[in-house]
Amino acid sequence: MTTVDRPLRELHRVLRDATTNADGVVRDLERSITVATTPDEKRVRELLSGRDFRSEFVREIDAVLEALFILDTDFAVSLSRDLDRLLERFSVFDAGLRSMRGQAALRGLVDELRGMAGVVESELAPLERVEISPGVVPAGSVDVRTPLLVGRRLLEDAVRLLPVTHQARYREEFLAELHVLVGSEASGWAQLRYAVAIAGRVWTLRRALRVMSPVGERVR
Amino acid sequence: MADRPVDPKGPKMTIPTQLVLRAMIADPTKEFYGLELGQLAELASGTIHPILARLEGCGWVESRWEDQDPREIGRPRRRYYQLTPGGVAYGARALQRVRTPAAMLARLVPRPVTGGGC
Repeated sequence: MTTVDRPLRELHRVLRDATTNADGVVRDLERSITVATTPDEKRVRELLSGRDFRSEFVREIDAVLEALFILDTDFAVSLSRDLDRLLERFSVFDAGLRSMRGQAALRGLVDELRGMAGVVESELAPLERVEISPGVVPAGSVDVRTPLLVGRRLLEDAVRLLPVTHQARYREEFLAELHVLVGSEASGWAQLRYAVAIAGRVWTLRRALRVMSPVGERVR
Repeated sequence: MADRPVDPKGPKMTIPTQLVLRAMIADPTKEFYGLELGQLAELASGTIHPILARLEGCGWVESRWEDQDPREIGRPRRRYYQLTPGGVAYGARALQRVRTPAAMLARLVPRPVTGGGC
Protein backbone atom coordinates (compact mmCIF):
# COMPACT_ATOMS: atom_id res chain seq x y z
CA MET A 1 0.00 0.00 0.00
CA THR A 2 1.38 3.37 -0.90
CA THR A 3 -0.35 6.07 1.05
CA VAL A 4 2.26 8.58 2.03
CA ASP A 5 1.60 10.85 -0.94
CA ARG A 6 -2.16 10.84 -0.61
CA PRO A 7 -3.88 13.81 0.97
CA LEU A 8 -4.96 13.07 4.51
CA ARG A 9 -8.52 14.15 3.97
CA GLU A 10 -8.80 11.75 1.08
CA LEU A 11 -7.67 8.94 3.36
CA HIS A 12 -10.22 9.92 5.92
CA ARG A 13 -12.89 9.73 3.24
CA VAL A 14 -11.65 6.28 2.25
CA LEU A 15 -12.09 5.09 5.81
CA ARG A 16 -15.58 6.49 6.08
CA ASP A 17 -16.54 4.79 2.83
CA ALA A 18 -15.09 1.55 4.13
CA THR A 19 -17.19 1.86 7.25
CA THR A 20 -20.32 2.43 5.22
CA ASN A 21 -19.56 -0.54 2.99
CA ALA A 22 -18.84 -2.70 6.00
CA ASP A 23 -22.28 -1.86 7.32
CA GLY A 24 -23.79 -3.49 4.26
CA VAL A 25 -21.60 -6.56 4.48
CA VAL A 26 -22.35 -7.08 8.12
CA ARG A 27 -26.05 -6.40 7.74
CA ASP A 28 -26.25 -9.26 5.25
CA LEU A 29 -24.20 -11.44 7.54
CA GLU A 30 -26.48 -10.64 10.48
CA ARG A 31 -29.49 -11.61 8.40
CA SER A 32 -27.83 -14.87 7.50
CA ILE A 33 -27.04 -15.55 11.15
CA THR A 34 -30.64 -14.97 12.12
CA VAL A 35 -31.80 -17.37 9.47
CA ALA A 36 -29.07 -19.84 10.38
CA THR A 37 -30.48 -20.27 13.83
CA THR A 38 -33.70 -21.51 12.25
CA PRO A 39 -31.82 -23.41 10.70
CA ASP A 40 -32.68 -23.21 7.04
CA GLU A 41 -29.54 -24.07 5.16
CA LYS A 42 -31.07 -23.37 1.82
CA ARG A 43 -32.02 -19.85 2.82
CA VAL A 44 -28.59 -19.16 4.31
CA ARG A 45 -26.91 -20.30 1.12
CA GLU A 46 -29.17 -18.02 -0.90
CA LEU A 47 -28.20 -15.08 1.26
CA LEU A 48 -24.52 -15.75 1.04
CA SER A 49 -24.27 -16.84 -2.56
CA GLY A 50 -24.62 -13.35 -3.95
CA ARG A 51 -21.69 -11.90 -2.11
CA ASP A 52 -17.97 -12.39 -2.12
CA PHE A 53 -17.29 -11.95 1.57
CA ARG A 54 -13.65 -12.71 1.23
CA SER A 55 -12.80 -9.89 -1.15
CA GLU A 56 -15.07 -7.46 0.69
CA PHE A 57 -13.44 -8.09 4.03
CA VAL A 58 -9.98 -7.89 2.54
CA ARG A 59 -10.84 -4.57 0.92
CA GLU A 60 -12.36 -3.07 4.05
CA ILE A 61 -9.53 -4.13 6.29
CA ASP A 62 -7.04 -2.89 3.76
CA ALA A 63 -8.70 0.52 3.97
CA VAL A 64 -8.43 0.41 7.75
CA LEU A 65 -4.72 -0.30 7.59
CA GLU A 66 -4.23 2.32 4.95
CA ALA A 67 -5.80 4.89 7.21
CA LEU A 68 -3.74 3.80 10.19
CA PHE A 69 -0.54 4.61 8.35
CA ILE A 70 -1.26 8.27 8.88
CA LEU A 71 -1.48 8.01 12.63
CA ASP A 72 1.08 10.75 12.97
CA THR A 73 -1.50 13.35 12.04
CA ASP A 74 -4.18 15.22 13.92
CA PHE A 75 -6.75 12.90 12.38
CA ALA A 76 -5.67 10.06 14.60
CA VAL A 77 -8.40 10.47 17.19
CA SER A 78 -11.30 10.75 14.77
CA LEU A 79 -9.89 7.92 12.71
CA SER A 80 -9.68 5.71 15.72
CA ARG A 81 -13.36 6.24 16.45
CA ASP A 82 -14.22 5.20 12.92
CA LEU A 83 -11.94 2.20 13.25
CA ASP A 84 -13.53 1.14 16.49
CA ARG A 85 -16.90 1.32 14.80
CA LEU A 86 -15.73 -0.62 11.79
CA LEU A 87 -14.07 -3.34 13.82
CA GLU A 88 -17.10 -3.60 16.03
CA ARG A 89 -19.02 -4.56 12.93
CA PHE A 90 -16.44 -7.13 11.98
CA SER A 91 -16.94 -8.71 15.37
CA VAL A 92 -20.31 -9.83 14.06
CA PHE A 93 -18.32 -12.12 11.83
CA ASP A 94 -17.04 -13.90 14.93
CA ALA A 95 -20.53 -13.99 16.39
CA GLY A 96 -21.78 -15.57 13.20
CA LEU A 97 -19.25 -18.34 13.40
CA ARG A 98 -20.09 -19.01 17.02
CA SER A 99 -23.83 -19.11 16.50
CA MET A 100 -23.57 -21.51 13.60
CA ARG A 101 -21.01 -23.77 15.25
CA GLY A 102 -22.34 -27.17 16.14
CA GLN A 103 -25.15 -27.21 13.64
CA ALA A 104 -24.40 -30.24 11.55
CA ALA A 105 -26.55 -29.11 8.64
CA LEU A 106 -24.54 -25.92 8.36
CA ARG A 107 -21.09 -27.36 8.91
CA GLY A 108 -20.01 -26.70 5.34
CA LEU A 109 -21.08 -23.10 5.55
CA VAL A 110 -19.29 -22.54 8.84
CA ASP A 111 -16.13 -24.01 7.36
CA GLU A 112 -16.50 -21.71 4.42
CA LEU A 113 -16.79 -18.62 6.65
CA ARG A 114 -13.89 -19.74 8.77
CA GLY A 115 -11.83 -20.18 5.63
CA MET A 116 -12.65 -16.64 4.60
CA ALA A 117 -11.39 -15.31 7.92
CA GLY A 118 -8.20 -17.28 7.43
CA VAL A 119 -7.73 -15.88 3.97
CA VAL A 120 -8.16 -12.33 5.22
CA GLU A 121 -5.50 -12.84 7.85
CA SER A 122 -3.09 -14.57 5.48
CA GLU A 123 -3.48 -11.83 2.90
CA LEU A 124 -2.65 -9.26 5.53
CA ALA A 125 0.43 -11.16 6.67
CA PRO A 126 2.82 -9.98 3.94
CA LEU A 127 2.29 -6.42 5.13
CA GLU A 128 4.16 -7.25 8.27
CA ARG A 129 7.76 -6.30 8.82
CA VAL A 130 9.96 -8.99 10.26
CA GLU A 131 11.23 -8.14 13.73
CA ILE A 132 9.41 -5.62 15.88
CA SER A 133 10.45 -6.16 19.45
CA PRO A 134 13.47 -7.11 21.52
CA GLY A 135 11.10 -9.34 23.44
CA VAL A 136 10.00 -11.36 20.43
CA VAL A 137 9.89 -15.05 21.15
CA PRO A 138 12.82 -16.90 19.62
CA ALA A 139 12.17 -20.06 17.65
CA GLY A 140 12.03 -23.20 19.73
CA SER A 141 11.14 -21.44 22.96
CA VAL A 142 8.36 -22.29 25.38
CA ASP A 143 5.39 -20.48 23.89
CA VAL A 144 5.20 -20.80 20.13
CA ARG A 145 1.89 -18.95 19.85
CA THR A 146 2.37 -15.49 18.44
CA PRO A 147 -0.07 -12.61 18.08
CA LEU A 148 -1.68 -11.72 14.80
CA LEU A 149 0.97 -10.13 12.61
CA VAL A 150 -1.07 -7.13 11.66
CA GLY A 151 -1.83 -6.42 15.32
CA ARG A 152 1.86 -6.33 16.13
CA ARG A 153 2.46 -4.01 13.25
CA LEU A 154 -0.22 -1.59 14.40
CA LEU A 155 1.27 -1.52 17.89
CA GLU A 156 4.72 -0.90 16.51
CA ASP A 157 3.45 2.01 14.42
CA ALA A 158 1.65 3.44 17.43
CA VAL A 159 4.66 3.15 19.75
CA ARG A 160 6.77 5.16 17.34
CA LEU A 161 4.59 8.16 18.11
CA LEU A 162 5.53 8.10 21.78
CA PRO A 163 8.48 10.01 23.21
CA VAL A 164 11.64 8.15 22.28
CA THR A 165 12.57 7.47 25.89
CA HIS A 166 9.29 5.60 26.45
CA GLN A 167 9.11 3.62 23.23
CA ALA A 168 11.00 0.50 24.34
CA ARG A 169 8.93 0.20 27.50
CA TYR A 170 5.56 0.49 25.82
CA ARG A 171 6.61 -1.67 22.85
CA GLU A 172 7.29 -4.54 25.23
CA GLU A 173 4.32 -3.78 27.48
CA PHE A 174 1.76 -3.69 24.65
CA LEU A 175 3.19 -6.74 22.97
CA ALA A 176 3.06 -8.62 26.26
CA GLU A 177 -0.63 -7.76 26.57
CA LEU A 178 -1.23 -8.93 23.03
CA HIS A 179 0.34 -12.21 24.11
CA VAL A 180 -2.10 -12.33 27.02
CA LEU A 181 -4.94 -12.18 24.51
CA VAL A 182 -3.36 -14.92 22.43
CA GLY A 183 -2.95 -17.03 25.56
CA SER A 184 -6.63 -16.58 26.36
CA GLU A 185 -7.56 -17.86 22.90
CA ALA A 186 -8.76 -14.43 21.77
CA SER A 187 -9.71 -14.31 18.12
CA GLY A 188 -7.66 -12.47 15.53
CA TRP A 189 -10.35 -9.81 15.46
CA ALA A 190 -10.07 -9.31 19.22
CA GLN A 191 -6.33 -8.87 18.87
CA LEU A 192 -6.79 -6.42 16.05
CA ARG A 193 -9.34 -4.51 18.10
CA TYR A 194 -6.89 -4.29 21.00
CA ALA A 195 -4.15 -2.96 18.73
CA VAL A 196 -6.47 -0.42 17.17
CA ALA A 197 -7.65 0.75 20.58
CA ILE A 198 -4.05 1.29 21.69
CA ALA A 199 -3.14 3.02 18.45
CA GLY A 200 -6.20 5.22 18.58
CA ARG A 201 -5.35 6.59 22.01
CA VAL A 202 -1.62 6.86 21.54
CA TRP A 203 -1.81 10.64 21.42
CA THR A 204 -3.47 10.71 24.82
CA LEU A 205 -0.71 8.50 26.18
CA ARG A 206 1.88 10.71 24.57
CA ARG A 207 0.41 13.78 26.28
CA ALA A 208 0.39 11.99 29.62
CA LEU A 209 4.00 10.92 29.19
CA ARG A 210 5.12 14.40 28.25
CA VAL A 211 3.70 15.69 31.51
CA MET A 212 5.41 13.02 33.58
CA SER A 213 8.74 13.22 31.76
CA PRO A 214 11.67 14.72 33.67
CA VAL A 215 12.15 18.44 33.14
CA GLY A 216 14.26 19.18 30.13
CA GLU A 217 13.56 15.91 28.35
CA ARG A 218 13.00 16.50 24.70
CA VAL A 219 10.01 14.89 23.08
CA ARG A 220 10.35 13.91 19.48
CA MET B 1 11.43 1.36 40.54
CA ALA B 2 12.50 4.94 40.80
CA ASP B 3 10.79 6.85 43.60
CA ARG B 4 8.74 9.79 42.49
CA PRO B 5 7.54 12.54 44.78
CA VAL B 6 3.86 12.07 45.61
CA ASP B 7 1.56 14.84 44.49
CA PRO B 8 -1.34 15.03 47.00
CA LYS B 9 -3.59 16.67 44.42
CA GLY B 10 -3.17 13.87 41.96
CA PRO B 11 -4.54 13.80 38.43
CA LYS B 12 -7.86 15.19 37.28
CA MET B 13 -10.57 12.88 38.62
CA THR B 14 -12.19 11.91 35.35
CA ILE B 15 -14.65 9.04 35.43
CA PRO B 16 -12.19 6.56 33.87
CA THR B 17 -9.57 7.63 36.43
CA GLN B 18 -12.05 7.01 39.23
CA LEU B 19 -12.81 3.56 37.81
CA VAL B 20 -9.12 2.66 37.74
CA LEU B 21 -8.53 3.94 41.25
CA ARG B 22 -11.53 2.08 42.61
CA ALA B 23 -10.32 -1.15 41.03
CA MET B 24 -6.83 -0.73 42.47
CA ILE B 25 -7.92 0.41 45.92
CA ALA B 26 -10.20 -2.61 46.18
CA ASP B 27 -6.98 -4.62 46.44
CA PRO B 28 -4.30 -2.05 47.26
CA THR B 29 -1.37 -4.43 47.59
CA LYS B 30 -2.05 -6.32 44.39
CA GLU B 31 -0.01 -5.74 41.27
CA PHE B 32 -1.97 -5.46 38.04
CA TYR B 33 -0.91 -5.41 34.41
CA GLY B 34 -2.63 -2.92 32.15
CA LEU B 35 -4.95 -5.22 30.25
CA GLU B 36 -6.06 -6.90 33.47
CA LEU B 37 -6.76 -3.58 35.13
CA GLY B 38 -8.66 -2.36 32.08
CA GLN B 39 -10.91 -5.41 32.24
CA LEU B 40 -11.49 -4.95 35.97
CA ALA B 41 -12.35 -1.28 35.52
CA GLU B 42 -14.33 -2.08 32.36
CA LEU B 43 -12.34 0.37 30.29
CA ALA B 44 -11.30 0.11 26.68
CA SER B 45 -7.74 -1.07 26.08
CA GLY B 46 -6.39 2.24 24.86
CA THR B 47 -7.81 4.17 27.80
CA ILE B 48 -5.98 2.49 30.64
CA HIS B 49 -2.35 3.29 29.87
CA PRO B 50 -2.70 7.09 29.70
CA ILE B 51 -4.44 6.99 33.08
CA LEU B 52 -1.73 4.79 34.57
CA ALA B 53 0.92 7.12 33.15
CA ARG B 54 -0.73 10.08 34.86
CA LEU B 55 -1.12 8.23 38.15
CA GLU B 56 2.50 7.18 37.93
CA GLY B 57 3.53 10.73 37.16
CA CYS B 58 1.76 11.85 40.33
CA GLY B 59 3.51 9.20 42.40
CA TRP B 60 0.24 7.45 43.19
CA VAL B 61 1.20 4.37 41.23
CA GLU B 62 4.53 2.67 40.66
CA SER B 63 5.37 0.06 38.08
CA ARG B 64 7.94 -2.63 37.49
CA TRP B 65 8.70 -5.30 34.95
CA GLU B 66 7.61 -8.84 35.55
CA ASP B 67 10.50 -10.68 37.15
CA GLN B 68 10.87 -13.29 34.40
CA ASP B 69 13.24 -13.85 31.54
CA PRO B 70 11.28 -13.38 28.28
CA ARG B 71 13.27 -16.19 26.69
CA GLU B 72 12.22 -18.60 29.39
CA ILE B 73 8.54 -17.69 29.42
CA GLY B 74 8.32 -17.33 25.66
CA ARG B 75 6.78 -13.88 25.58
CA PRO B 76 7.63 -10.27 26.42
CA ARG B 77 7.53 -9.27 30.08
CA ARG B 78 4.40 -7.73 31.52
CA ARG B 79 4.53 -4.37 33.21
CA TYR B 80 2.95 -4.49 36.66
CA TYR B 81 1.33 -1.52 38.38
CA GLN B 82 0.68 -1.07 42.07
CA LEU B 83 -0.58 1.77 44.24
CA THR B 84 2.05 3.48 46.37
CA PRO B 85 1.21 4.09 50.04
CA GLY B 86 0.63 7.73 49.15
CA GLY B 87 -1.54 6.67 46.24
CA VAL B 88 -3.72 4.55 48.51
CA ALA B 89 -4.23 7.40 50.97
CA TYR B 90 -4.66 10.26 48.52
CA GLY B 91 -6.61 8.13 46.06
CA ALA B 92 -9.14 7.09 48.70
CA ARG B 93 -9.59 10.71 49.74
CA ALA B 94 -9.97 11.85 46.16
CA LEU B 95 -12.64 9.23 45.51
CA GLN B 96 -14.54 10.31 48.59
CA ARG B 97 -14.44 13.89 47.41
CA VAL B 98 -15.85 13.22 43.96
CA ARG B 99 -18.81 11.34 45.44
CA THR B 100 -19.71 9.61 42.22
CA PRO B 101 -21.63 6.45 43.15
CA ALA B 102 -19.83 3.34 42.00
CA ALA B 103 -23.04 2.02 40.47
CA MET B 104 -23.32 5.14 38.37
CA LEU B 105 -19.71 4.84 37.28
CA ALA B 106 -20.32 1.33 36.09
CA ARG B 107 -23.16 2.46 33.88
CA LEU B 108 -21.28 5.29 32.23
CA VAL B 109 -19.46 4.77 29.01
CA PRO B 110 -15.88 5.92 29.50
CA ARG B 111 -14.55 8.55 27.17
CA PRO B 112 -10.94 9.27 26.22
CA VAL B 113 -9.14 11.15 28.95
CA THR B 114 -7.90 14.64 28.24
CA GLY B 115 -6.10 17.18 30.33
CA GLY B 116 -5.42 16.39 33.95
CA GLY B 117 -2.97 17.42 36.60
CA CYS B 118 0.53 16.27 37.53
